[in-house]
Amino acid sequence: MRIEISGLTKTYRGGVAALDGLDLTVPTGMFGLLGANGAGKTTLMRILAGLVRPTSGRVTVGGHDMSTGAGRTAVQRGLGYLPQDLGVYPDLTARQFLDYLALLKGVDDRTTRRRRVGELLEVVALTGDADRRLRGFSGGMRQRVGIAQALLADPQLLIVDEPTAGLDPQERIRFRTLLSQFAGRRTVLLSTHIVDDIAQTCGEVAVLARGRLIFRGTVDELTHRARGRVWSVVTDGPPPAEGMVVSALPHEGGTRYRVVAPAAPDPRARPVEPAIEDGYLALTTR
Amino acid sequence: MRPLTLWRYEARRAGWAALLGPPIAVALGVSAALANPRPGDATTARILLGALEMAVPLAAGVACASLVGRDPAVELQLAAPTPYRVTLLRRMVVTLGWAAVVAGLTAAVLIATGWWARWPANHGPFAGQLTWVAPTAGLGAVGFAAGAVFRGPAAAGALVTTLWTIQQFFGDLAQRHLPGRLLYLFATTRGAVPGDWTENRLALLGAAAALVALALVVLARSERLIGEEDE
Repeated sequence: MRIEISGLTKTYRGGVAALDGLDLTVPTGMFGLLGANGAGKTTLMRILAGLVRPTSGRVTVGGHDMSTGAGRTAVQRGLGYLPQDLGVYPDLTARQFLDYLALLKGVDDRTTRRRRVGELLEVVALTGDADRRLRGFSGGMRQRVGIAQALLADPQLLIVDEPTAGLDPQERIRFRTLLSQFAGRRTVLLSTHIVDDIAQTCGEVAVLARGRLIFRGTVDELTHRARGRVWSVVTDGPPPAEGMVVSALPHEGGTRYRVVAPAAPDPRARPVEPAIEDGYLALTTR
Repeated sequence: MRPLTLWRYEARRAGWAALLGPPIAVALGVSAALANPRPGDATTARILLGALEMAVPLAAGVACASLVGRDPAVELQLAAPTPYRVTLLRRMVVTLGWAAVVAGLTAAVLIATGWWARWPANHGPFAGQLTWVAPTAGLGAVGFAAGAVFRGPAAAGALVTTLWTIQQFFGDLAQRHLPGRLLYLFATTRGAVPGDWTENRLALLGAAAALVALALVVLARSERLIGEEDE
């Protein structure tokens, strides 16, 4: 499902512009969306999921115009959506919750529903907890239920907003692998501010800042944006005043700082190979 | 026709207030009737019919007022191809349907035991069912529409109880003008202007239909439900 966005603007009450003339094309496959908090990622996700209507601009998903009710419904029939703040019904068991959402997604046949729910519980490793009420689930387990519900109707478009927040490292890796396996010929839009999640799963990425697109390209191209701007400095004094400190590691004779800055932040600084996180910071901290 | 399982889930989502409210309302009415110092007269019958005309509608109205604005999975609901307003309407139907079952069974018992007929203005066993049908639908619709507009059970529930209380204590004022008479909730047990009863009941049902339609229009704007309103 190809997504085409042109001139997309969303202004909330009070004049707050969450999106400001956004133009973006999202092809089939895994696509990452990066940006700081408040960059407009969640608003974009909600518009693509049909929850929020744009103030102006045009959005088509798989050829369906999202400004029409028919278009939104057509997209939602093939949509899997995992919101940033996943709310569940605590009185239902995981199996009941998925069964209910499958009904809302139009899976009316009981046998099909049971089979699909069973398969997905297996995929997210919750079979053993399937008949426990959700109120007793940890954050990570709830997130896995959220992932399962997003996959219920075998969606052609999967929108996941900050999906790995609150997951432990093993769960994060498991989730990323699951998304990559799922993508194939489908479109998976992964919104996050965890740069590593994008690096490990997405070929292409877009970066939003203050509602505008500031980068679109491959992960390598994003990384390349920091070439010649990443420095390593060892000092026993305060951190370099210039640039953005990416990391600080204890080191013999002081602390080793990794800094993103347009020029060497210290006479002792030496250039190092950039990573995707450096590329992202080089873009957003100009 | 959607599977019965879906209706069962919506019944659970309607909540305890929807389940327990109507039977508690009837139980309170029966308790008040039992406490009447002059049992067997028309006053006891009036109290029993009053439970159906006053208490059950209030319980149903408050339960309907709690349907919008307390759904923890509202984003998932809004992203599903089943329109959320249809889901909410289904929950309202379940809520009012259960109130109707409780009120209908109570009315059947009152008819069978003769208490129904002891209230002079009972309007018979069939048309007389509008005694509880009209105000239950009316207050239920007020609650549902208020929930859609205010997006919160507290404000919507307060509106329902305020409306009910005003009609309880200022019924005479309401009956002085035609619109007030037509929308008076307690025309069977608190008295209607002669000849007004049928029109009053039908007007309440019409107002209920109009309020539900209004609520469905308001609920079509999904972003209001996640607190993200356009400028």
